[in-house]
Amino acid sequence: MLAVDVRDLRVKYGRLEAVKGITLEIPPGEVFGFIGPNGAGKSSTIRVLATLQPKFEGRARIMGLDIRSKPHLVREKIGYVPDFFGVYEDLTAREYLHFFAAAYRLPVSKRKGVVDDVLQLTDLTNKIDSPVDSLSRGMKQRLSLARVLLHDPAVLLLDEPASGLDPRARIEMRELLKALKEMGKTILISSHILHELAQLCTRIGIIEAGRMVTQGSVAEIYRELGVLKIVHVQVANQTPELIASLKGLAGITQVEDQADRISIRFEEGSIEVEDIHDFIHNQGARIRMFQPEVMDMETAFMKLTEGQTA
Amino acid sequence: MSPFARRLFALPGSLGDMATWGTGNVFPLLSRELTEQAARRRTFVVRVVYAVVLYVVAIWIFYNQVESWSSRTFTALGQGLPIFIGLGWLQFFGIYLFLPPMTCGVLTAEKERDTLSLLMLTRLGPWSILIGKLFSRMITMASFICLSLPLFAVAYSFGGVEATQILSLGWGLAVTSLQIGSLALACSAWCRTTGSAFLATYLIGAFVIAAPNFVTQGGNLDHFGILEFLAEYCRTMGFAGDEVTHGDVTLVLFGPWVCLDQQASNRPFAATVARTVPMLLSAAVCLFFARAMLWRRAFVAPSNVMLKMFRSLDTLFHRLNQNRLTRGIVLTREHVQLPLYDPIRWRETKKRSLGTTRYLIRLLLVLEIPVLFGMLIPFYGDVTSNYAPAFVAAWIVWVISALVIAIHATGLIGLERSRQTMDVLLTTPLTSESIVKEKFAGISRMIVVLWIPLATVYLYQVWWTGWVGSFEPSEILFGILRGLLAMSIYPWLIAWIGFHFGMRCRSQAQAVLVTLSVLTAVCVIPAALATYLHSNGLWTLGEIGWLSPAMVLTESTYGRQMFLDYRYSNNFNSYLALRAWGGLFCHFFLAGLLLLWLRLRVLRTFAGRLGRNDGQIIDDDDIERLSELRRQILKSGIFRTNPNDE
Repeated sequence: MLAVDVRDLRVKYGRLEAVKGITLEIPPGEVFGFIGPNGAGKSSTIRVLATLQPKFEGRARIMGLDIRSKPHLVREKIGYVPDFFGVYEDLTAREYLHFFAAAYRLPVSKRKGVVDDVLQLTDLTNKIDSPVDSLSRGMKQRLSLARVLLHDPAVLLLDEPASGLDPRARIEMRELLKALKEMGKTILISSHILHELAQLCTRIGIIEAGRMVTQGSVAEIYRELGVLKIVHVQVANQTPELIASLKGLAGITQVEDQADRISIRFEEGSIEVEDIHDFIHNQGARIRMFQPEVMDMETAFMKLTEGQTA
Repeated sequence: MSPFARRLFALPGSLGDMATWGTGNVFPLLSRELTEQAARRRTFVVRVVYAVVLYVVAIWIFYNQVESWSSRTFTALGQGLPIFIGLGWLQFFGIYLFLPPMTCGVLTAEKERDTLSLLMLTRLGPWSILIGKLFSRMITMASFICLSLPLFAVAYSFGGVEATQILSLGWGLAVTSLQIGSLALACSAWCRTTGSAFLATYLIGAFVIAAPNFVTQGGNLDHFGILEFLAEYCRTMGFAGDEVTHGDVTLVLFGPWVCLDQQASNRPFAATVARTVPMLLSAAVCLFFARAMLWRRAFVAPSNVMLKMFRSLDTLFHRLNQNRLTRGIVLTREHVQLPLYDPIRWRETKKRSLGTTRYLIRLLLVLEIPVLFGMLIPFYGDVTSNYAPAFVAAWIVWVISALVIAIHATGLIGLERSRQTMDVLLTTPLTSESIVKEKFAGISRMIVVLWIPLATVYLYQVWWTGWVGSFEPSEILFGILRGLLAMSIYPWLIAWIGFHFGMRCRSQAQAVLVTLSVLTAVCVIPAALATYLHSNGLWTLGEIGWLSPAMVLTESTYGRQMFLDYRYSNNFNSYLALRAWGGLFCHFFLAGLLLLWLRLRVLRTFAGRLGRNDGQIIDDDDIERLSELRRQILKSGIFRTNPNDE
């Protein structure tokens, strides 16, 4: 049974078709990253799955439950974190979580334990009696995650949870999501922080103008796109023979002899970075610097999309 | 001159270039605002509504006036002045009604959207921004006023209207627009939200314009000689001519006083302009205030005014309680526990300011004490009057109750939306119906509290009527029933209307405005129609007046006539008695039906309006599956559970 099963989903707002036939299949335990420019249809898709969009075409199921006909059952299975921090200014963190524990009808006797657990998981135990309004943006977002964990949902729907957070809060959020991933939660996350998704997600879908442009693992997408990777190398005893031999190495597409370095370009999957290192070493060169470039999700994103909205 | 004062008084440097470059170059904001308004559907809808109301009322004025003339055609000649004055009043009324809501959001909307900082980063000076914003609304208002030009032309064609009167009216309308627009702009510069700016504009406007006349009883009270001093000053300065009285002085800020008073036809245009000097000064004060507050209050943090007010009241009551007599005794101590089963009900009644017991007691005291004092007033006046005390008290208590209920009811959804908590709430397993019903828990408590001053008013009214009218049993029964039915139906009807518009409108301010407009229309339109029909002898059709809650609740001229007829008939089975009882029950039967229908409609449309997918009705299988799901959650073992629990 798929955790999230979306077939030919279409969402219209008046004349505007925000989502134009998206199909998604996310098995349980997978972390699926949803990437796309603003207005691409990410939030609309997530809102359908969160039972907040009554009118849509196509099929959408969560843990085998049809969203159109069984939304009340779906709500028991999901945890939804919107892209804003909706807080009640008159509640403390404890009251806030107990409020939602009551809304999710958790047995009264279990609530204290569950609230303590989610606060510990989100590292907010010391803020339990602080007014929600006084928490920082990062803390509020962690509190939102604590909220959706109260009823132990199978699927988490996170709509740009890291937007507006400072680097430290983003890292904390990423670590928290990794912990949830290890707990076996199925997570559908949309974000603009692309390289963070690359580190976290098992699969990625790129959406533009309401259509899914591509989906698959990060490596699959690189392969599909033919995105080039680059390694920057400095050697102490550089010779023209070394450059020539590098150019002849299978999988290498381009070797540039620059002023202070050699830039080697190759296609994802055609050769491993370690093999290039070993090859240069075996040629007798003394390596001073060996720097593979960070995986370039932005390049993939820019290559696949044209900044169109639905 | 200090740097701040220099900045305050510095006019836009490019003002002189306006004629050369055009408005768009000098006031780009004005150009943008006008373009935006022209592109909005709402502008045209409001203009059409304004035109419809204007022409309907104008036709009524024309009809009444023409009907009063004799059958000879020539008697109509020279009779255009009453029509002209009627239309003039209508235009002033239009400015007072339409301009504040149009203008009070010009700066607060920018604050709410966080775009005021972007304006501050441009080269636009503060005066350019203020003038651009103000003129954009004044020009729109002027386009509304221009709709009446054909009507004025007809009035002018009858004769009797001097050219200077037309000029005076035009000047008076322009200055009033400037005055009201500036006041709304000042409130917009000070307040954080459009709703608070809207309320502030009306409250301050009503106070400044009407309070001097009201407090001095039309200029009769002049204990400190202030009015005489002002009158003498006006005479000396030539603002108002020698005819100026104390009563005039109290109305110097009221637009119609400028050009629609009885001496207006004999006054030269220059004297009319002189009379508007106080209004122009008040506009200047508002504009300079807006200028001073524009940047200072640009980033003011949003705050709950109601909560602040109640907290300060808390402090005050706490201090008052610390005395030798009471020694800090607390009668009801609230223990805030965590929610058990109905979280929304818990929050509405335990955490929100107007839902908690102690704040409700505060509200009761704030309402009940003035009501009780008000009850004593008639004993110092004419004790033979049957209706005066109840009339005033009932109006005041009902208006305050309606305002409090409407604001609270519209905020039930509006505040969740503005705090962006609605979506989160909608994804919980709570059913839509339970969300709505639990949301109403706070209002229900508040309504029970409001019953006390209302019951006080009605019991007093019954007692007073009986005391003066020798305790006629049927009349006492009538009064008691009317009060009970009104208290049982109206508060909830207002609450459901407020909730309904709270769901439909994008902001709470808009919802409050629409709710109050609907309530006013329901009270005024049937009453006005009934009065008109009765004045034309159409008694049966005039029973439409029973649709108006205002007619039923208070003793207006029409209502007094009706009830007096019934009272003096002294016969329960008479036609008049049947009419009164029948009208009362028909009214409340219809109101009750409306309440039930509205409640049902809100419950049914709640999910759809808020974009929630409610799917199919839960059946027994679903309930079983839900229970199974909960069992699975508890067994999941991911969360540590207390071994002592269950």
